[in-house]
Parts: sequence; structure tokens; C-alpha cells
Amino acid sequence: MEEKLKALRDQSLPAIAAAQDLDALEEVRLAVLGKKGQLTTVLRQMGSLPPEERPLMGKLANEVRDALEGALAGRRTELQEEEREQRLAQERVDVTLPGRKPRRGTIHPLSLVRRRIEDVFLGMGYSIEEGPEIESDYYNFVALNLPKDHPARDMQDTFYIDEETVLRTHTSPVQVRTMQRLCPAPLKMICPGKVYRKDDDATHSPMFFQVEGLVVDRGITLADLKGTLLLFARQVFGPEQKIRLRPSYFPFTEPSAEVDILCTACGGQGCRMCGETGWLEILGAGMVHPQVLRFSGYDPDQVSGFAFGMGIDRVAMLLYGITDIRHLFQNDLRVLKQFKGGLC
Amino acid sequence: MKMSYKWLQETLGLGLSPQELADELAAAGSQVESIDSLAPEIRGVVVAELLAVQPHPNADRLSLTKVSDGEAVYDVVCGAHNIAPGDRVPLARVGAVLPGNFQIKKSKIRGEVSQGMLCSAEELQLGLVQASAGILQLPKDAPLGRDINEYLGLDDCILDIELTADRGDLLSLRGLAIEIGALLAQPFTLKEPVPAPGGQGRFPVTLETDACTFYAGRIIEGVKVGPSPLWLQLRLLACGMRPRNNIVDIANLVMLEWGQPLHTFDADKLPRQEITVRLARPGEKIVTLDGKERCLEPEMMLITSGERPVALAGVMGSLDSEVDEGTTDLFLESALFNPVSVRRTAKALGLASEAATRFEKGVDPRGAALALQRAADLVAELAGGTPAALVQVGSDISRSRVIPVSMERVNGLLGTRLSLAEGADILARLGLAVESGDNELLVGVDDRRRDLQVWQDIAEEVGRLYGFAKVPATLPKGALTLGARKYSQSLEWQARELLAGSGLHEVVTYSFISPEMAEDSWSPPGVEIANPLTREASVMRGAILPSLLAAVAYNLSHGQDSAAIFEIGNIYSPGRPLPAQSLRAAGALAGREPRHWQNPGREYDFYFLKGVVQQFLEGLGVEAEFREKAGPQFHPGRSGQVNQGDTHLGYLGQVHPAITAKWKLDDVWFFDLDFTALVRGARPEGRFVPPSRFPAVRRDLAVECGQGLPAGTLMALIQEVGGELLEDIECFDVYSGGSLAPGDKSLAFALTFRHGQRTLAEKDVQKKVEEIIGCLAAAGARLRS
Ligand SMILES: [Zn+2]
Repeated sequence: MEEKLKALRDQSLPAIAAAQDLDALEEVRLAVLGKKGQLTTVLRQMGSLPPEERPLMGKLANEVRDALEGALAGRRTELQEEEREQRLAQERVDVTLPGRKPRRGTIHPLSLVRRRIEDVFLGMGYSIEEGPEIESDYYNFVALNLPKDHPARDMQDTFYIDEETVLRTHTSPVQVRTMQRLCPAPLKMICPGKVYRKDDDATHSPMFFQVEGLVVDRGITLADLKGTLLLFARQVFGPEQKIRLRPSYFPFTEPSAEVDILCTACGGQGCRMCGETGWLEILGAGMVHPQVLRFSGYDPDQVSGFAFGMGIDRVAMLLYGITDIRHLFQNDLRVLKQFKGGLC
Repeated sequence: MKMSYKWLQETLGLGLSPQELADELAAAGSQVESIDSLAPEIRGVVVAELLAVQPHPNADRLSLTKVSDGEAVYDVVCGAHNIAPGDRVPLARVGAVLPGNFQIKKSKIRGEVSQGMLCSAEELQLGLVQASAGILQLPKDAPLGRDINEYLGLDDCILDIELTADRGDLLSLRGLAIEIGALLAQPFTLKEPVPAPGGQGRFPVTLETDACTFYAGRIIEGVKVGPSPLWLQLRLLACGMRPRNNIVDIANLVMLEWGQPLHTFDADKLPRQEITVRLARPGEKIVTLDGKERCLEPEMMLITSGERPVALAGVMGSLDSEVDEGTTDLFLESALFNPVSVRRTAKALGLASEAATRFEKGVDPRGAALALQRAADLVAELAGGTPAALVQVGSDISRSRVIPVSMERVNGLLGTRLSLAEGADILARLGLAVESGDNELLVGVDDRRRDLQVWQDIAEEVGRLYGFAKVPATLPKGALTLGARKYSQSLEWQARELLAGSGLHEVVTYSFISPEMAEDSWSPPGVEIANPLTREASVMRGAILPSLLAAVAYNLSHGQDSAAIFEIGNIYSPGRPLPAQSLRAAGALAGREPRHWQNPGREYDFYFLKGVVQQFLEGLGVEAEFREKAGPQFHPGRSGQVNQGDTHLGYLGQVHPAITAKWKLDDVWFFDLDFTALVRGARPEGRFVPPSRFPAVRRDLAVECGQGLPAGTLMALIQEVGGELLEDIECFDVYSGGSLAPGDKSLAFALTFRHGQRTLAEKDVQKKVEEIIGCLAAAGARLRS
């Protein structure tokens, strides 16, 4: 019997090692270890052994079974691994083919720039105010120190609905409305929105977007205006930016200034875009005219304020390198789809 | 305002180049738009003397001349006849260049050598006026060989200065010289002529309107009208004005010098020897100098003589009183007209003149009499004639005022730390009368500087001349404030993100459209613009549909096969006191979903559109119901309305094919929602419900019913019967045709039941399902076997 067990082990181990797939291995297992397998057959003879040999033979039988089972398990793992390798070798994708993207559209560049500007001023504690686009002559002009027949009315070619109603030429009427609402409290606001002027060429659109800002409080200075706009310019156009204030005239501010930033194309060296000056005009600003403060209920002897206004379109054109403003209102999908991502 | 660089240079003794001067002016608020050479195209032309003039042997109309430039003698063939030996003329030698890049070469003309060309005024293309045609005659003392550009002052530049609207005082040599003098700390005053004593004279002037506060005039008898001397013509050219004759040129020169517009009448053409200034009468007409007949409105101010209008006061004279070659007696006018009156008249007639520009911005009252005297002196000097006594009515007194200015306040406004002395110095440089008090300055201002009214105006002058560049950059120091978007503003950005996230591209269209666009979209016309740029942009839109159809049409005709766009923008409707505006969120889809190699992409249809709208509403936190029936702009069977309870939120569906046909478009899918209503209806924030620990039971139900029975009705019924136990209903299959009776459809629903506090018993579910089946049957939906 001992020989039979040893023979069984010596024959079966090579058979297990030789099994070429899991099915063949299973066949070997059934033939050797199955209920009707060879080991069972050998063990049936155990009863015919003398009782003193049985424990010894039992131990040997267990050793043989363990060896065979170990070999089977080892071979099974080997075969499984081989099979997986084979499968993985067959399963392939082409990583260069397009994926099934969930559909995604775009937000208009004017909106993106508007949000960027809004965020700068929100960060400085400003509120965002809104108002009607079709305005009364009073709020658009008179309350801003521009009575009828004022020569400076020619500075803004105006669309009229009737004698007393205009398409707002700036978002300043929102400033007036907000001052009237909040007076005498201090205030810090911006008012973005659509404005309208009778102009139509590569740099002027009859409808465009403006954002104006206003701060009214005790002790507000021209220096504060300068610092605020410098911060804005650096936040939007880059940390190296500089600004330049040139004296100017607006009926609603005194003193008034036009504000330049370093040319975004040449960084101040001078180029065709900036007319070789190194500077680009992007803002009008100034200290709120005492008459405007008074109109809105504030006492110009107690408080002062600064105001500024810029074209969102102009900022967008500079940031994105758009040379004709009409691209912004053409709504050509070939243009819009360019504003897909990144920190716009 | 165009100004000669040389005139300023000579007046102030400037050592600055034109560009340096421009930079100084810009830093103080007057931008120089351009610096143009007066005669950029003339090179190598010199002063020469004619030594001999002989007829050309082979041509009757030509002469052979010998000319000298002081160094050499040249043979030049000439075609003009106004020349004689001894004349000094411009000679373009071989190698010279004339305007139009005309190069002078050695040539033979009808067999005779010509070593250059004698130049006429036309050939120099300067716009000079000459007494007779032909070669330009230079003064006898013109130095031989001197470059003509240098001699005539053609090396001058025209500075085109953009002045701000408040600085009428800078519309003159005097004003600019004072400003530049202040900038360079070399204060300037223009030499004043000695005025003749005023009186009524024998030429009565009557002021019938208070829009004319002062009127002075002078008859000058026996003048000789002709071309001005070259220096005067060139000065005008260098200020961008065309020379005409000595009288008109003098009036213009004095206007440029003093900023006071003058007018000249031919005294003999005035109907009567009197002047009345009055407002126009209904029906009156005038033919202005430009030859146009103008119908006058009653508010326009006129200069009349013998009842007849002879000038629009301060704007333009009449053709029939104009000074011309035959004029011998002149009436010279210098007056002060109300800026608003002049502005209204000029605007109403669409007339812009140099005079009107100055009157509109306000002239210095003190200049009126001085300018008249200066002009009379110049006329006597350059055109002969004897000035008669001065006629003068009204008052030219300049309203002077004293503005007390505290430097503490000035510094408080500018954020600077300037001393009283520094402030006083700056203001004195500007020609203002400054007295220093203990803590403030008393600044005397008159109507030369109408822009200076309050202390803040003075503060600007101080800041401007001190230099905005030197003002520090600080930040406001007030209390901290909250910087946050309002709820509706935050939602508006979220709306953009949501719609873009659904594959739509945001557009920004013009608020104005054409009446035809509204009509072709069966949409309300909105609010009409009284003075539109074009008819295409003449109404503020009453609906957003026309704008989006136009954007779709534009893209489909520019190479796109599909378009998926949205806009968040206002529409407008008539209203009182102001027209109303209402914010819409709208979108349009045309064509098909983007194609993928695994998925051909379906054409856009109602259910795609509804999916976008549902996703949008869910993202905003708006629970809404969809019902049949939309507006007339929609396909009647493929559209619906969106409601939240009793609140109407908007429409969605296919744009009516009759509309899309007008736009030459195929199917367009469109939604239009009232954004303000969405904001009101949005759930401000989510609420937590703990997930159930008990298992769900699922049942599928398939029913058959008529096509007309909406799935939504059945689902509402199922939900009603299912009550709290029914957690979810999903319609997962819709089917018609095949074995179904014509006009029927099959719908399949997946129902999920769950109890919050216990495991549902099979029999409880079964009971509910049977109850649901019963109700569905009663509603006309039979269970499919
Ligand atoms: Zn540049």
C-alpha cells in the first residue's frame, strides 16, 4: 500500500504540472482526488491492513493528499494568471479616440469678464446694484449735473424714446438711484449693465456693457480712487500693472480723470496698438461733483466720494485680444466656443 | 482745436519740441490728437530771383527765364505770365520734390533745357490765395537761396488739441499760452490793444433780446479787399483754417488769437444803416454763407438790418451781406451771445461753425471789445480804410467772484499734503488773483474761466498742475462692508452655469431689433426708439424670440449645422412713467445633438428641449409643472407651458413652422422663461431627509390607452393613489403601433414603494398596486396582459 500511495503521488504530480488549462486540471483532480478517484480507491484498502500499520499509513495518505492538493492549487493559480494575462492582452482601447463627453456649452466672454470685474470689487466690500435700461432724462442727465442744453450732453450721443425718456448712456443713473435710496449712509457699490450710445464702428457699439463704481463716505480722496483702480488693474490685467491718471472733464465729477493702464500688448514699451505711448485708456473717473452729491441728498461738506466707469467690452477686447467690438455681439458660435475653459 | 506750434513757440519763447509740448498738455488734461507737418511733401524748394524773362523760341505760351538762388544761375522754362525780372519766386531745383511725390528732373521742353521749375501756389498745394494766377510772388526782401519751408514757416506743425468740454477758454492762442505758461511756470499775458472810446455813433444798434448781452461794431470805410499777406495766410493754414481774403482772414486770426468770434458785413449790403438783434419771427428765412436756405424757428437769435435777417447770431452770416472783392465799407461785429441760444440754433440747423463752437462754450466778456479793436487795427494796417467811431450797447462786464479755498479741504479731496503757499503759487501761475488768508486762499475768478465755480473746481486746478502722477495711491479707510451678490444676482450666474452645462452657448444680442423682426416672429414690437441709428435697430425688443432666431439663422448660414444657444436678457414694454423691462432666460436649439463615433446624435426634439428646461429648473431649485398649450408663436401640438402653481413661468416647444419658414429655418426648439418669476419660485436651499433603512419594493406596470391621454395625467393619478408609500415613478417605455389598436399607445411605469418605519409586506404592496390599476382603468388606461 505504501508503494501504491507513493506511486500515486509520483504519477499525479507531473500530471498536475502538465495540465494545460483549468478544465484539464479539474480532470486530473477528479481522477486523483474525486469521490471515485485513485486516492479513494487506495484508501479503501486501509481496512485490510493490520491495525498497527493503519496510523502510519493514515499519516502517509494525508501527506500525499496535502501534496496533491497543494500542487493542484498552485497550478490553478498559475493557470488563472495565465488566462487573465491572455485576456488582458486581447482587451484594448484606442486612447486617442474621442470620449463620450457630457455636453457642455460656454458662457459669453462679456459675462466672463463682467464676473471677473464684479469679483474684484465684491472682494473689496462693494455691493452690486442694478437699474432700468430705459431711463428718465432726469436720472441719466439732470441728476448728474447735466441739465438740458449743457454742452457736455454732446459727449454722449443719446437714443431717445421721447423727450423725457432715454436709453441710458451710462450706468450712472443706478448710482443716483442707489444714493437716493441709501442716503445718508455711506456706500460702496458697482453697477454693471447694458448702456446705449449712437455710435457704430470697430471700437464702438451702439449697445455695450459698462461697469461703474461709486464710494461715498467721510474722507474719501482722489488718492483712494487711485489706489482702488491700481488694485483693480493688477487683479484683472496682472500684478505688474501700473495706472496713469490724466486730468479730464466729466460734468458729474470734479476733479475728473481719464485712467490709462500699461499697454497689454507691449507692456509699456510702445507699439502700434497703444499708438507708441505705452498706455491704453480704459477708464473715466473722478471725485463725485458736489452738485451730484447734493442732488442725491448728501451734504458735500460732510462726505466725499469717488466714481469710475469702464467698458466691459473694452476690458474683454484687451484681455482676449479682440480687435473689433462687433465680434462680441455677432454671436458667432465659432467665436463663442473658444471660451470653453480655464480661468476666464 | 487746431493750433500752430510755431505761433505758440514764438508767443511764449518755448524751448519744447512739438511732442514735448503735447506731453505737457496731455498731463494737464488736453490731449494732442495729432501733430501734422504743415507741408510734409515739399523738399528742396528755395527763394530765387528772376534775372531775365524771354519768349520761348518754339512755343508762344512759354518763356525762358534765368533765375538765381544767390549762388548759381539756372535756365528754367516757365508757362506762367505773371513774372518779370526782379521778382522773387519759389524755385524747385533739380532734385526737389513737390506734393504728390513729384520729383523735379533736368528736362528739355520744346527743345530748350530747363534746370528746374518755378512754383505756383497750386503746385505747392498749400491752399494759399493769390491776387493773380501764376507763379507765387514772394516779398522782395525774401533772402535768396533760403529754403521755402523755412522762409514761409512751412516747417510748422498743426497741433490738433482735443479740449475737454468745459475748457472753452483754451479755444485761442491766448488761452493756450496762459495754460502752457502755467504748466511751465512762466506766466503769460497777451498784449492788449488800446480800445477806442465807445458810444452810440451814427450807426444805431438795438438789442431786443437779452440773449445778446453786449454788441459792439465799427464801420471801416474805404477798405481794399484782396488776398492777405503770406504770413497771415500761412498762420491760418497752420491753425487748420483756409485763407479767403484779407478782411475775413483778419477776423479769423483775431478769433484764433483772442477766442472772440467776430463777424464782418459789407456795410453797403445792409438794408439799412442800423442793426437790431432779435429773435426770429415765424416763417422767416435766411440764406447762409454756405449757400443754403434755412427756415428759422422763433427761438433763434438773429442779427437784422432794416427788418431783414443778415446773420444767425453767433453761428453764421447771410450770403447777401458777405464781404467780397467789391466791398469798400465794412461793418465789423463783436458781440456776446448767450451760449444756450447759440447752441440750440446751431444744433437745430445742424450747423457747426468756429464761432458757434466758441460761443457755446462761453467766451471771455473782456475779450469782445479788445478783439474788435485788434481787428480794426489790423484792417487799417493790411487793407487800408478808416475806422469810424465805435458803436457799443449792452454790458461786457465779466462777472468776477471770489472762491474761498481751504487747503485742508483741497488736501482732503486729493489725498495730498500741499501747503497754502504751494496752492497759491499754482493758482497764480494760471493767471488767477490769489490772496492768502490765515488758513485759506481767496481765489478771484472771472468769466474767462467759466469752469471754475466752486472750491472743488479750484482743487482740480491745484491737483492738475501739481500732477495727478504725484498723488499717492491709498485705499478707503471706512468701516468694513459686506461684498456679496444679492440672491437674484447669484441665481443669475447659476443659471448661466446650468444652461452652459447643458451644452448651450450663451449669446448676447442687441436689445434693439427691427419692426420686421418682431412681425416675422409674431412677437410684440416693444418700445420704439425716436432717433434710431437704422431701421434694423429701431425698437427695443418686446420679446426675446426674434433675437434668438436671428442668432440661429446667422450661425446656420455661417457654416454651422446646428446651434444650441441661450440668453439671459431684458425685454421691454411701454409703460408709465418709464417703459418696463423684464428679465428673461431663453434658449433655442436647431439641428442635432453633437455626433459621436459611438452615437450618431439625434435631431433636437421636444424631449431634448424639455430635458434642458427640466435640468435648468431643477438646478435652480424650481419645482414646476408642464402643461399643454403655449403662445401663438409655437407649434400647437409640440409645445407647452411651464407653471408653478398659479404662477406662469414661461413656454417651451417648437417655434411655429410659419415663423421659422419666414426666417428660412427648419425646426427650431425654443424656451422662454420669466427669470424674475424663477427667482421668486426657487427654493432657497435644500432640506435634509434621512435615507430609509427599510428595503424598497419595485413593481412594473404596463398600460394601454388612447394617444390623447397624457402620461402626466396617469402619473399624477398613480402618485395620488400610491400616496406616501410610493417613493418614485419612472416612465420607462412608450410604444405605439405593432399589435396596438390604431390611436392607442402603451406606457410602462416602474414604481418604487417604500415605508419609512418598517419593511413593507408583500400584501400591502399588492393591495396598492391593485388600487392603482383600478383607478388607471377608470381613467381609460387598461393593464396590458
Ligand atoms: Zn503697446
